[in-house]
Amino acid sequence: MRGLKRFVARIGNVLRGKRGEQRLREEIELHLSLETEANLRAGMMPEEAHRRAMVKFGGIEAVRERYHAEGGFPMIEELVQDTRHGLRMLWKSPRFTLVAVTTLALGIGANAAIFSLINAIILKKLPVADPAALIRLGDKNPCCVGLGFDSDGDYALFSTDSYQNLRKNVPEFAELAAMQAGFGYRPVAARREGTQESARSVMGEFVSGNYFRTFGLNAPVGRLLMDSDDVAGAPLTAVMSYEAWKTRYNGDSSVVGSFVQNQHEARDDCWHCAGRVLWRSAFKHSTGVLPAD
Amino acid sequence: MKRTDVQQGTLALMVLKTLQVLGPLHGYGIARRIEQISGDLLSVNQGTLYPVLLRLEQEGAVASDWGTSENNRKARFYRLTREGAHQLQAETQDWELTSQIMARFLNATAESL
Repeated sequence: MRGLKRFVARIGNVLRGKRGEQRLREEIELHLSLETEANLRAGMMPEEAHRRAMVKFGGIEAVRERYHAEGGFPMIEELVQDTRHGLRMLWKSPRFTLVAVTTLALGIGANAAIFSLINAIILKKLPVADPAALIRLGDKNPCCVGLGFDSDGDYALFSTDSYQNLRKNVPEFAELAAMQAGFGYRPVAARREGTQESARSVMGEFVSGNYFRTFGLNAPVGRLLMDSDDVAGAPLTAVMSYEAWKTRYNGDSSVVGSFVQNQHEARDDCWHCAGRVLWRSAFKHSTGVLPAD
Repeated sequence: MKRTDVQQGTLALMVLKTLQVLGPLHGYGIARRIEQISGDLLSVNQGTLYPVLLRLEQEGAVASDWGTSENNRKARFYRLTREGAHQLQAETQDWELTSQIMARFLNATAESL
Protein backbone atom coordinates (compact mmCIF):
# COMPACT_ATOMS: atom_id res chain seq x y z
CA MET A 1 0.00 0.00 0.00
CA ARG A 2 2.79 2.38 0.94
CA GLY A 3 4.73 1.37 -2.15
CA LEU A 4 1.67 2.01 -4.29
CA LYS A 5 1.15 5.48 -2.87
CA ARG A 6 4.76 6.30 -3.48
CA PHE A 7 4.57 4.96 -7.03
CA VAL A 8 1.53 7.07 -7.82
CA ALA A 9 3.15 10.18 -6.35
CA ARG A 10 6.27 9.60 -8.43
CA ILE A 11 4.32 9.12 -11.64
CA GLY A 12 2.44 12.30 -10.87
CA ASN A 13 5.71 14.19 -10.42
CA VAL A 14 7.13 12.91 -13.68
CA LEU A 15 3.97 13.67 -15.66
CA ARG A 16 3.66 17.17 -14.26
CA GLY A 17 7.36 17.70 -14.88
CA LYS A 18 7.47 18.80 -11.26
CA ARG A 19 10.68 17.75 -9.64
CA GLY A 20 10.60 19.68 -6.44
CA GLU A 21 13.61 21.75 -7.46
CA GLN A 22 12.08 24.91 -6.01
CA ARG A 23 10.96 23.16 -2.89
CA LEU A 24 14.36 21.66 -2.21
CA ARG A 25 16.07 24.99 -2.76
CA GLU A 26 13.80 26.63 -0.19
CA GLU A 27 14.44 23.85 2.27
CA ILE A 28 18.19 24.14 1.85
CA GLU A 29 18.14 27.94 2.18
CA LEU A 30 16.10 27.84 5.35
CA HIS A 31 18.19 25.08 6.82
CA LEU A 32 21.46 26.87 6.18
CA SER A 33 20.17 30.18 7.47
CA LEU A 34 18.93 28.62 10.71
CA GLU A 35 22.15 26.72 11.24
CA THR A 36 24.21 29.82 10.49
CA GLU A 37 22.21 31.82 13.02
CA ALA A 38 22.75 29.13 15.60
CA ASN A 39 26.46 29.23 14.91
CA LEU A 40 26.48 33.02 15.21
CA ARG A 41 24.76 32.77 18.57
CA ALA A 42 27.48 30.34 19.58
CA GLY A 43 29.93 33.16 18.92
CA MET A 44 31.35 32.37 15.50
CA MET A 45 32.34 34.94 12.95
CA PRO A 46 29.73 35.25 10.15
CA GLU A 47 31.90 33.62 7.48
CA GLU A 48 32.91 30.78 9.71
CA ALA A 49 29.30 30.33 10.82
CA HIS A 50 28.15 29.96 7.23
CA ARG A 51 31.01 27.65 6.30
CA ARG A 52 30.34 25.36 9.23
CA ALA A 53 26.66 25.25 8.33
CA MET A 54 27.54 24.18 4.78
CA VAL A 55 29.88 21.47 6.00
CA LYS A 56 27.31 20.10 8.37
CA PHE A 57 24.66 20.00 5.68
CA GLY A 58 26.86 17.84 3.48
CA GLY A 59 27.19 17.67 -0.28
CA ILE A 60 24.33 19.65 -1.78
CA GLU A 61 24.65 17.98 -5.18
CA ALA A 62 24.41 14.51 -3.65
CA VAL A 63 21.34 15.54 -1.70
CA ARG A 64 19.76 17.03 -4.80
CA GLU A 65 20.37 13.86 -6.75
CA ARG A 66 18.80 11.71 -4.10
CA TYR A 67 15.93 14.10 -3.72
CA HIS A 68 15.18 13.87 -7.41
CA ALA A 69 15.61 10.13 -7.38
CA GLU A 70 12.91 9.96 -4.69
CA GLY A 71 10.63 12.17 -6.71
CA GLY A 72 10.72 10.34 -10.02
CA PHE A 73 12.11 7.35 -11.85
CA PRO A 74 15.68 8.40 -12.55
CA MET A 75 16.59 5.22 -14.38
CA ILE A 76 13.79 5.48 -16.89
CA GLU A 77 14.27 9.19 -17.36
CA GLU A 78 17.98 8.72 -17.90
CA LEU A 79 17.25 6.00 -20.40
CA VAL A 80 15.02 8.36 -22.35
CA GLN A 81 17.67 11.07 -22.21
CA ASP A 82 20.39 8.70 -23.33
CA THR A 83 18.25 7.47 -26.20
CA ARG A 84 17.60 11.01 -27.34
CA HIS A 85 21.24 11.84 -27.11
CA GLY A 86 22.15 8.72 -29.06
CA LEU A 87 19.70 9.51 -31.84
CA ARG A 88 21.01 13.06 -32.10
CA MET A 89 24.56 11.81 -32.43
CA LEU A 90 23.55 9.31 -35.11
CA TRP A 91 21.80 12.05 -37.02
CA LYS A 92 24.89 14.23 -36.78
CA SER A 93 27.23 11.69 -38.36
CA PRO A 94 25.26 9.95 -41.10
CA ARG A 95 28.26 8.11 -42.51
CA PHE A 96 28.97 6.39 -39.24
CA THR A 97 25.27 5.65 -38.88
CA LEU A 98 25.17 4.08 -42.31
CA VAL A 99 28.15 1.84 -41.56
CA ALA A 100 26.81 0.86 -38.16
CA VAL A 101 23.32 0.12 -39.43
CA THR A 102 24.64 -1.87 -42.39
CA THR A 103 26.94 -3.88 -40.14
CA LEU A 104 24.11 -4.64 -37.77
CA ALA A 105 21.74 -5.51 -40.60
CA LEU A 106 24.23 -7.88 -42.20
CA GLY A 107 25.05 -9.45 -38.87
CA ILE A 108 21.45 -9.99 -37.93
CA GLY A 109 20.60 -11.22 -41.42
CA ALA A 110 23.46 -13.73 -41.44
CA ASN A 111 22.51 -15.00 -38.01
CA ALA A 112 18.88 -15.39 -38.99
CA ALA A 113 19.84 -17.23 -42.17
CA ILE A 114 22.16 -19.60 -40.35
CA PHE A 115 19.59 -20.23 -37.69
CA SER A 116 16.87 -21.05 -40.19
CA LEU A 117 19.24 -23.50 -41.84
CA ILE A 118 20.16 -25.16 -38.57
CA ASN A 119 16.54 -25.14 -37.49
CA ALA A 120 15.48 -26.84 -40.71
CA ILE A 121 18.28 -29.40 -40.75
CA ILE A 122 19.03 -30.17 -37.13
CA LEU A 123 16.40 -28.85 -34.76
CA LYS A 124 13.10 -29.31 -36.53
CA LYS A 125 11.88 -32.83 -36.95
CA LEU A 126 10.01 -33.97 -39.99
CA PRO A 127 6.30 -33.73 -39.29
CA VAL A 128 5.82 -37.46 -39.48
CA ALA A 129 5.29 -40.20 -36.94
CA ASP A 130 8.81 -41.63 -36.89
CA PRO A 131 11.34 -39.54 -38.81
CA ALA A 132 14.27 -41.72 -37.80
CA ALA A 133 12.83 -44.74 -39.56
CA LEU A 134 12.66 -43.05 -42.97
CA ILE A 135 15.17 -43.90 -45.63
CA ARG A 136 15.42 -42.41 -49.05
CA LEU A 137 16.49 -44.63 -51.93
CA GLY A 138 19.05 -43.17 -54.24
CA ASP A 139 22.49 -41.63 -54.25
CA LYS A 140 21.61 -38.20 -55.57
CA ASN A 141 18.94 -35.66 -54.88
CA PRO A 142 17.78 -34.38 -58.24
CA CYS A 143 14.78 -32.16 -58.01
CA CYS A 144 12.96 -32.97 -61.21
CA VAL A 145 12.95 -34.68 -64.51
CA GLY A 146 12.17 -31.72 -66.65
CA LEU A 147 15.34 -32.19 -68.68
CA GLY A 148 15.00 -35.86 -69.28
CA PHE A 149 16.26 -38.89 -67.50
CA ASP A 150 19.99 -39.70 -67.56
CA SER A 151 21.27 -43.17 -67.25
CA ASP A 152 24.73 -42.32 -66.01
CA GLY A 153 24.92 -45.13 -63.51
CA ASP A 154 23.47 -43.11 -60.65
CA TYR A 155 20.15 -44.09 -59.28
CA ALA A 156 17.92 -41.47 -57.77
CA LEU A 157 14.84 -41.37 -59.92
CA PHE A 158 12.82 -44.41 -60.76
CA SER A 159 10.16 -45.10 -63.30
CA THR A 160 6.76 -46.15 -62.04
CA ASP A 161 7.50 -49.68 -63.23
CA SER A 162 10.79 -49.86 -61.33
CA TYR A 163 9.08 -48.52 -58.26
CA GLN A 164 6.38 -51.17 -58.41
CA ASN A 165 9.01 -53.77 -59.06
CA LEU A 166 11.09 -52.68 -56.10
CA ARG A 167 8.07 -52.60 -53.89
CA LYS A 168 7.22 -56.15 -54.77
CA ASN A 169 10.75 -57.49 -54.41
CA VAL A 170 12.29 -55.65 -51.49
CA PRO A 171 10.50 -56.99 -48.42
CA GLU A 172 13.13 -55.45 -46.11
CA PHE A 173 11.15 -52.20 -46.10
CA ALA A 174 7.93 -52.06 -44.15
CA GLU A 175 6.60 -49.69 -46.79
CA LEU A 176 7.99 -48.31 -50.00
CA ALA A 177 6.21 -45.14 -50.98
CA ALA A 178 6.73 -42.97 -54.03
CA MET A 179 6.06 -39.46 -55.06
CA GLN A 180 6.20 -37.66 -58.34
CA ALA A 181 9.61 -36.29 -59.22
CA GLY A 182 8.98 -32.58 -59.20
CA PHE A 183 5.58 -30.98 -59.31
CA GLY A 184 3.19 -31.18 -62.17
CA TYR A 185 2.13 -27.63 -62.93
CA ARG A 186 -1.38 -27.36 -61.54
CA PRO A 187 -2.31 -30.89 -62.54
CA VAL A 188 -5.81 -30.76 -61.12
CA ALA A 189 -8.58 -28.27 -61.65
CA ALA A 190 -11.56 -28.83 -59.40
CA ARG A 191 -14.71 -27.00 -58.52
CA ARG A 192 -16.84 -27.30 -55.45
CA GLU A 193 -20.13 -28.92 -56.20
CA GLY A 194 -23.30 -26.92 -55.56
CA THR A 195 -21.51 -23.57 -55.46
CA GLN A 196 -21.07 -20.82 -57.97
CA GLU A 197 -17.33 -20.62 -57.53
CA SER A 198 -15.27 -21.21 -60.63
CA ALA A 199 -12.94 -24.12 -61.02
CA ARG A 200 -9.62 -23.66 -59.34
CA SER A 201 -6.44 -25.25 -60.53
CA VAL A 202 -3.94 -26.00 -57.82
CA MET A 203 -0.41 -27.24 -57.49
CA GLY A 204 -0.24 -30.89 -56.73
CA GLU A 205 1.90 -33.93 -56.82
CA PHE A 206 1.07 -37.55 -57.50
CA VAL A 207 1.96 -39.96 -54.72
CA SER A 208 1.57 -43.66 -54.20
CA GLY A 209 -1.41 -45.01 -52.27
CA ASN A 210 0.72 -45.97 -49.28
CA TYR A 211 2.44 -42.57 -49.13
CA PHE A 212 0.64 -41.14 -46.10
CA ARG A 213 0.56 -44.47 -44.33
CA THR A 214 4.34 -44.68 -44.72
CA PHE A 215 4.66 -41.42 -42.83
CA GLY A 216 2.13 -42.53 -40.22
CA LEU A 217 -0.19 -39.61 -40.83
CA ASN A 218 -3.89 -39.27 -40.21
CA ALA A 219 -6.42 -36.82 -41.58
CA PRO A 220 -8.31 -34.57 -39.14
CA VAL A 221 -11.20 -34.62 -41.58
CA GLY A 222 -12.03 -37.20 -44.20
CA ARG A 223 -9.30 -39.70 -45.00
CA LEU A 224 -5.91 -39.81 -46.62
CA LEU A 225 -4.98 -41.90 -49.63
CA MET A 226 -5.18 -45.68 -49.45
CA ASP A 227 -3.94 -48.52 -51.61
CA SER A 228 -7.36 -48.79 -53.21
CA ASP A 229 -6.94 -45.26 -54.62
CA ASP A 230 -3.78 -46.40 -56.36
CA VAL A 231 -5.23 -48.92 -58.79
CA ALA A 232 -6.08 -48.59 -62.43
CA GLY A 233 -9.59 -47.27 -62.91
CA ALA A 234 -9.93 -45.79 -59.42
CA PRO A 235 -11.56 -42.37 -59.34
CA LEU A 236 -9.10 -39.50 -59.01
CA THR A 237 -8.68 -38.53 -55.40
CA ALA A 238 -6.79 -35.66 -53.86
CA VAL A 239 -5.76 -34.51 -50.43
CA MET A 240 -5.91 -30.87 -49.58
CA SER A 241 -3.25 -29.20 -47.49
CA TYR A 242 -4.26 -28.20 -44.00
CA GLU A 243 -3.44 -24.58 -44.76
CA ALA A 244 -5.69 -24.44 -47.81
CA TRP A 245 -8.46 -26.04 -45.80
CA LYS A 246 -8.13 -23.53 -42.96
CA THR A 247 -7.57 -20.37 -44.96
CA ARG A 248 -9.56 -20.93 -48.11
CA TYR A 249 -12.43 -22.98 -46.70
CA ASN A 250 -12.41 -21.80 -43.08
CA GLY A 251 -11.88 -25.33 -41.85
CA ASP A 252 -15.31 -26.36 -43.10
CA SER A 253 -15.47 -30.15 -42.88
CA SER A 254 -18.10 -30.35 -45.61
CA VAL A 255 -15.40 -29.78 -48.24
CA VAL A 256 -14.67 -33.49 -48.07
CA GLY A 257 -16.26 -35.15 -51.06
CA SER A 258 -17.70 -31.93 -52.42
CA PHE A 259 -15.31 -31.37 -55.33
CA VAL A 260 -15.82 -32.27 -58.93
CA GLN A 261 -12.90 -32.62 -61.21
CA ASN A 262 -12.66 -30.61 -64.37
CA GLN A 263 -9.70 -32.27 -65.98
CA HIS A 264 -6.68 -34.20 -65.07
CA GLU A 265 -3.57 -35.45 -66.64
CA ALA A 266 -3.15 -39.07 -67.31
CA ARG A 267 -1.31 -40.74 -64.53
CA ASP A 268 1.08 -42.77 -66.67
CA ASP A 269 3.35 -39.96 -67.66
CA CYS A 270 4.60 -39.31 -64.15
CA TRP A 271 7.87 -40.53 -62.82
CA HIS A 272 8.28 -41.65 -59.30
CA CYS A 273 11.16 -41.02 -57.12
CA ALA A 274 11.06 -43.74 -54.55
CA GLY A 275 11.55 -42.84 -50.95
CA ARG A 276 12.27 -39.19 -51.56
CA VAL A 277 11.06 -37.20 -48.65
CA LEU A 278 9.32 -33.92 -49.16
CA TRP A 279 10.12 -31.29 -46.62
CA ARG A 280 6.79 -29.65 -46.29
CA SER A 281 4.66 -29.34 -43.24
CA ALA A 282 1.58 -28.86 -45.36
CA PHE A 283 1.19 -32.60 -45.39
CA LYS A 284 1.15 -32.80 -41.67
CA HIS A 285 -2.55 -32.31 -41.36
CA SER A 286 -4.01 -32.98 -44.73
CA THR A 287 -7.69 -32.51 -44.47
CA GLY A 288 -9.12 -35.28 -46.42
CA VAL A 289 -9.79 -36.89 -49.67
CA LEU A 290 -11.73 -35.15 -52.36
CA PRO A 291 -13.16 -37.73 -54.71
CA ALA A 292 -13.98 -36.59 -58.22
CA ASP A 293 -17.39 -37.40 -59.62
CA MET B 1 34.28 7.58 20.30
CA LYS B 2 33.83 6.83 16.66
CA ARG B 3 30.77 8.31 15.06
CA THR B 4 28.40 6.00 13.32
CA ASP B 5 26.76 6.56 9.97
CA VAL B 6 23.01 6.44 9.98
CA GLN B 7 21.23 4.04 7.72
CA GLN B 8 18.46 5.54 5.68
CA GLY B 9 15.76 3.29 7.12
CA THR B 10 16.85 4.17 10.64
CA LEU B 11 16.76 7.84 9.79
CA ALA B 12 13.15 7.53 8.62
CA LEU B 13 12.20 5.93 11.92
CA MET B 14 13.95 8.69 13.86
CA VAL B 15 12.10 11.31 11.85
CA LEU B 16 8.74 9.72 12.61
CA LYS B 17 9.53 9.44 16.30
CA THR B 18 10.71 13.04 16.47
CA LEU B 19 7.49 14.28 14.87
CA GLN B 20 5.43 12.16 17.24
CA VAL B 21 7.14 13.56 20.30
CA LEU B 22 7.52 17.18 19.28
CA GLY B 23 4.65 17.74 16.88
CA PRO B 24 5.04 19.63 13.59
CA LEU B 25 8.61 20.67 12.83
CA HIS B 26 10.58 21.97 9.89
CA GLY B 27 13.47 20.00 8.45
CA TYR B 28 16.10 21.88 10.38
CA GLY B 29 14.26 21.30 13.65
CA ILE B 30 14.12 17.58 12.96
CA ALA B 31 17.82 17.48 12.15
CA ARG B 32 18.68 19.36 15.34
CA ARG B 33 16.53 17.12 17.46
CA ILE B 34 18.04 13.94 16.08
CA GLU B 35 21.48 15.34 16.74
CA GLN B 36 20.62 16.30 20.31
CA ILE B 37 18.99 13.03 21.26
CA SER B 38 21.74 10.91 19.87
CA GLY B 39 24.19 12.97 21.90
CA ASP B 40 26.30 13.72 18.85
CA LEU B 41 27.01 10.04 18.52
CA LEU B 42 25.37 9.94 15.13
CA SER B 43 26.82 12.00 12.37
CA VAL B 44 24.06 12.87 9.98
CA ASN B 45 24.90 14.70 6.83
CA GLN B 46 21.94 16.89 7.54
CA GLY B 47 21.06 17.23 3.88
CA THR B 48 20.28 13.52 3.61
CA LEU B 49 17.24 14.22 5.74
CA TYR B 50 15.35 15.91 2.92
CA PRO B 51 15.15 12.98 0.49
CA VAL B 52 13.91 10.91 3.42
CA LEU B 53 11.26 13.49 4.22
CA LEU B 54 10.10 13.58 0.60
CA ARG B 55 9.87 9.83 0.57
CA LEU B 56 7.89 9.69 3.79
CA GLU B 57 5.53 12.30 2.42
CA GLN B 58 5.01 10.36 -0.79
CA GLU B 59 4.30 7.26 1.25
CA GLY B 60 1.74 9.21 3.22
CA ALA B 61 3.51 8.84 6.58
CA VAL B 62 4.00 12.58 6.96
CA ALA B 63 2.28 15.64 5.52
CA SER B 64 3.69 19.12 5.08
CA ASP B 65 2.35 22.68 5.15
CA TRP B 66 3.85 26.08 4.88
CA GLY B 67 4.42 27.94 8.12
CA THR B 68 6.75 30.51 9.58
CA SER B 69 10.03 29.63 11.18
CA GLU B 70 11.43 31.13 14.38
CA ASN B 71 13.52 33.55 12.31
CA ASN B 72 10.39 34.67 10.48
CA ARG B 73 11.02 32.91 7.24
CA LYS B 74 8.70 30.79 5.18
CA ALA B 75 9.29 27.20 6.21
CA ARG B 76 7.80 23.83 5.40
CA PHE B 77 6.50 22.13 8.53
CA TYR B 78 6.16 18.36 8.62
CA ARG B 79 3.68 16.53 10.78
CA LEU B 80 2.94 12.90 11.43
CA THR B 81 -0.19 11.51 9.73
CA ARG B 82 -2.35 8.78 11.22
CA GLU B 83 -0.78 6.36 8.81
CA GLY B 84 2.66 7.52 9.86
CA ALA B 85 1.73 6.86 13.48
CA HIS B 86 0.78 3.28 12.61
CA GLN B 87 3.99 2.86 10.70
CA LEU B 88 5.98 4.21 13.63
CA GLN B 89 4.31 1.82 16.02
CA ALA B 90 4.97 -1.18 13.82
CA GLU B 91 8.57 -0.26 13.14
CA THR B 92 9.24 0.52 16.79
CA GLN B 93 8.09 -2.96 17.75
CA ASP B 94 10.31 -4.44 15.06
CA TRP B 95 13.28 -2.51 16.34
CA GLU B 96 12.71 -3.44 19.95
CA LEU B 97 12.45 -7.08 19.04
CA THR B 98 15.58 -6.94 16.92
CA SER B 99 17.60 -5.14 19.54
CA GLN B 100 16.44 -7.51 22.28
CA ILE B 101 17.47 -10.48 20.25
CA MET B 102 20.80 -8.93 19.37
CA ALA B 103 21.44 -7.95 22.99
CA ARG B 104 20.69 -11.44 24.23
CA PHE B 105 22.82 -12.89 21.51
CA LEU B 106 25.80 -10.66 22.10
CA ASN B 107 25.65 -11.02 25.88
CA ALA B 108 25.46 -14.79 25.73
CA THR B 109 28.32 -16.57 27.47
CA ALA B 110 29.44 -20.15 27.14
CA GLU B 111 27.65 -21.11 30.39
CA SER B 112 24.30 -19.73 29.41
CA LEU B 113 24.20 -21.59 26.12
